Amino acid sequence: MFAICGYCQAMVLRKGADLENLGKISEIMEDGSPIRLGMGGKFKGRDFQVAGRIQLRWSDGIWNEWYLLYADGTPGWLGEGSGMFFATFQRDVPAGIVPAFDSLVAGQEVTVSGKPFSVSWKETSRCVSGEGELPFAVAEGWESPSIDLIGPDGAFVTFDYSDDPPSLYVGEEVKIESLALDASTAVPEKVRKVAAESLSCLSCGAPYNPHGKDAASWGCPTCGAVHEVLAGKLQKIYENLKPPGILPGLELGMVGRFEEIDWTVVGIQRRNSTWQDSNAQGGWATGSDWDEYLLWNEQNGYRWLVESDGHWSWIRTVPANLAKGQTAVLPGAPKRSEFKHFSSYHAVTTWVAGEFYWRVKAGDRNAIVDHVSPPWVLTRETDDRESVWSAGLYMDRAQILSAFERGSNLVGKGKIKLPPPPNTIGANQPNPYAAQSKAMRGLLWKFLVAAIFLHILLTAILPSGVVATGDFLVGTDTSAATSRFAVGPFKFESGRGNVEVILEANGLDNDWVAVDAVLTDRATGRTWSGGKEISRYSGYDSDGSWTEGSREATLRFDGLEKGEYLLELETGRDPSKTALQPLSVKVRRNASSMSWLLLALLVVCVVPVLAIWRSMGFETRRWAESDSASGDDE
Amino acid sequence: MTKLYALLAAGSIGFMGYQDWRGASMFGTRAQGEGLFGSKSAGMMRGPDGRLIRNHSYNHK
Repeated sequence: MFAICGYCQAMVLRKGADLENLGKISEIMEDGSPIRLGMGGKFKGRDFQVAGRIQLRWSDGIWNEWYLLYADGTPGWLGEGSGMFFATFQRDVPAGIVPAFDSLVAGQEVTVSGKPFSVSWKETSRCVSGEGELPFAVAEGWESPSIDLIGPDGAFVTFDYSDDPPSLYVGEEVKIESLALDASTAVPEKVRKVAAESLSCLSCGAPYNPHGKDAASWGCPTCGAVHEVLAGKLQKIYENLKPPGILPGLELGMVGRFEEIDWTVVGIQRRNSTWQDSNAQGGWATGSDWDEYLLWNEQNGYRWLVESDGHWSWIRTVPANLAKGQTAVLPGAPKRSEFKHFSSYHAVTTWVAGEFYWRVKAGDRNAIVDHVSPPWVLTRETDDRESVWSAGLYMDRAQILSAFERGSNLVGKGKIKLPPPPNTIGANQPNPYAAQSKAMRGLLWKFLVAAIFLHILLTAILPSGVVATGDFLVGTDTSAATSRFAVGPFKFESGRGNVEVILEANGLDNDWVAVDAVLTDRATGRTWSGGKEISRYSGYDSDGSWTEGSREATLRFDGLEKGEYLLELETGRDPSKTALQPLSVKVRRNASSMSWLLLALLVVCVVPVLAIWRSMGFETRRWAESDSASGDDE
Repeated sequence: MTKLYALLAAGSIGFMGYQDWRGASMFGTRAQGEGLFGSKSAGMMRGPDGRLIRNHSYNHK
């Protein structure tokens, strides 16, 4: 067992009662970690104690590997970085199982034990310090090349290439609250040599007030000098950025209340979208700018607030590569499968102010893929070293104003000057018409079925059938025998209703018959009258045979009541014709009419159709901004 | 809005049911002097001699 002396920082090898001094190591850098040496805790019901820590530096900051000793003697590790925690255990694997370090890149899909994982981080870190007991010796500058992979449902794997052959660590992301850390057994802290003092910009002297203790860089909001931050102190300027003409709406130090927690704006990053275009200068076309605000809370770490064209999203990193996950991305958020690819592009940092937990630089370029399931957006950002997923929830301007007006009053900031409301549709902006459209679609089908069912039911149960018939021969003269006919009388037994008079001129060809009909209620004298022409023509022309008209016509009389009726017909014919034309007449009671059904269906449909059309129009405008509109969809 | 639509749709279906029940159609001929939509009189045209004549001619004839 190796141990680092808490007083002199000497690393010793303990063999029974003997101690071998292996040299000194630097003191732990203050990093704001909630974990302390000696703390007790539980992971999945198993008690552990924090036995030691290795503190490592990677290109963008500091992270910790806490060495845990479980009650049953099993060793484990708790990785801590960027406010996230991963509990892992070493697994014995045969040599050659772990892929070579150079064979994997950030974002690459890898199958581990039959499960899909993707490379979330690839980096060679260097040890800067350590404390407590460790299972192996470390020294300042000791290199630890490693690759992290994230799998479904928070599964986590690390390939550690500091061992030969490489080691495999398997575990999962954990919430710090779930570890039930007990500070009563923690080793008392030494007074840190690095005080949380106010510092000044190395260029213009503007004050630097550290917030997050794991800050790795700070951009001076006054002069644009970007500093490296180490152990809470400004070290050196590594970049000078010209402040933008239009400043972001929110200022550093403002406090906003989200999720019932006060968050402080500690960093602002302006980015610009860019994509490869052979016609553009340098092969890259540039799009619009947007601002990303890094917010910090001492207990809860970091969140992002992103403003683009007046659209706001509240964003946090998500612990797992959810590309193949089956569970909700975040509590209250949809499953991964419900997100649709929206756009792929690159983001380039153009200006920064405030502090960041990585070494931020102008020109930092990340490949970004946005998936949306409004009001959520799921984003993957990938660069050479890491692949990070984040999930964002759309917020409207009023929510942002409300959140910051209260918080900013607390810190004496001026009036909030947010960008104007958007005049575009955001990728994850909720469709204000969607709920109404969905509700109306649900009602539409019910009403359609109800209307058709009721119509069919009434048609079926109402008394109907032929109540009178007549067959006549129609002549061309005006004599009563060949031009005036009567059908009936017939009785209408009960209730209200209608009759349909079906006129059929069998054998009619290239001829016509005109019919005037008068229906009379013999008791009241009320009459219904109407006329129809029955005509049918046929022949041949250059296009072939043709026919026009019909040998049948129908008259309909509505509003009949109980009584006895007589139908009288007067006919007319082409005087040039000589042959008598047969005319068959049928009187049918309660013929069904589709007219009221069609009117009802029109009324039932028109409002939902308008609602659906309005909702679809919103979605069309949304997706017009996506890759699918430009044909670049995945 | 959705409730208003539900009321409108239910009302239109009820109205359709009432009209179907009484056997009325929107464009059927009513008794003389009655009706809003239906034609009150739709008799054929007559020639100078009082004989019925057809109302229109066809494309081919």
